[in-house]
Amino acid sequence: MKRSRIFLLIILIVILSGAWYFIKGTNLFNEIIGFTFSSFLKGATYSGGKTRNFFQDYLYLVDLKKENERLKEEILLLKSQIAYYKERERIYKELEEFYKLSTNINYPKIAAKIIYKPMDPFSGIVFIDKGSKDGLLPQMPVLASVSGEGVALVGQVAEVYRNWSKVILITDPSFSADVKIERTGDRGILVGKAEKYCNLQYLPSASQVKEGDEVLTSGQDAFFPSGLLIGRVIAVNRDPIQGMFKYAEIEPLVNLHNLDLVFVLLKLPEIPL
Amino acid sequence: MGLTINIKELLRIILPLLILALFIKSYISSFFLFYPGDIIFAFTLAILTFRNSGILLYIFLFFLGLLESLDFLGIEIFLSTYFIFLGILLNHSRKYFAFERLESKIAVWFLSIFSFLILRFAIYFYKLNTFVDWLFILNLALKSFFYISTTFLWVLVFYKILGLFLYKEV
Repeated sequence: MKRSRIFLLIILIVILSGAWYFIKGTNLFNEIIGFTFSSFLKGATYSGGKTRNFFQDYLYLVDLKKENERLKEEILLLKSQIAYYKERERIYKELEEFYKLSTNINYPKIAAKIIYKPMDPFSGIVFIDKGSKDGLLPQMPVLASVSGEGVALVGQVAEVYRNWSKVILITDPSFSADVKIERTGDRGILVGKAEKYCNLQYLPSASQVKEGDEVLTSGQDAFFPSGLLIGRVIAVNRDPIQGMFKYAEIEPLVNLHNLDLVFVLLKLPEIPL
Repeated sequence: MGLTINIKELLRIILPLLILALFIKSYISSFFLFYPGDIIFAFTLAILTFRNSGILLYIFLFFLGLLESLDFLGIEIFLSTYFIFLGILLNHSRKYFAFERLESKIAVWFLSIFSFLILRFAIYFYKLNTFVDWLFILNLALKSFFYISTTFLWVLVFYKILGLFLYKEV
């Protein structure tokens, strides 16, 4: 009797999740888990980052502590307040700079906070706090600002749920983009490999690409608008498998480990897939 | 028959510890900015060391599989099935191993982590779209060593913590 009830319950859950998938096109379990845990993960990530900032500030002040205990406490208190305001100021500045720098990108943009970074050694996935209710859809490009000097592509939206989304970074093995070398105009395919650097493959063997060249999106893959900065060439070699091509190792312009604020371009792929 | 998980210990001990594990996972990765190990898988192995049967255990394993799959793309059902399969496999393998000995436990934990790592490699190489050279293989070997050692350490931590609350081992 008990077993048949459990069996019925399992069938009901399977039917419900199937119906959900057909109606909404997303995974019901992930919707529930995301709804339950996204705030929790956001809190944990935020507190981890804050503690890191706090310790960095604290270590900076160790010498002052030796000189004057009272002064140190006062400074620590003020520092924590300043750190709070600096963090707010940094976010505002970053947003301001991003909007200023990205005026030539003719797509609506939305700012999103990273709520969870698994730092997995075999993938490059982060969670952001914006989802379908904010207008996000899979395959939208994700950008970040490069120390106030420009904006660069850092990834692509992979899965979208109501309140949160999964983003694959450019270092993820499932990421690929059609790119070109800014100086020479040579095109190639940028792929991630879950390492610090990405590979730029299928460069023509006659390509004059060299270290330090900047890599941009070509706009030919229909996913990313053309002219988005991605990274810089750090090494060029002949492709060991297909000798008629060259390949280059690309260092992303943005420190992907330290990401905390990104911008999603509300751009749909230009061809139906 | 083995030791069946009951709703009381699930709610009072295991779930709060799981919440703590999730917090630690998220906190460590954002504080130290490095991979803290496969904490959810380690937690699963520690639970399976103490409890080996009951429909609640399999539902919980399904849930743990879903949590583990958050770090991947589109393999939720596959990983949940793998976790349930692991539960069934460990339950049956108890007949053949002297599970009361710590050495046997360590061997089973190591084998489970290693087989899960192989599964992760399969997923990784399925997605990978580039060639592999020796430097790349060396990097993978280092990552694997780090993965196995950190996950193994977490199994020991959870085993010790659960041992304080779930007295009777299988």
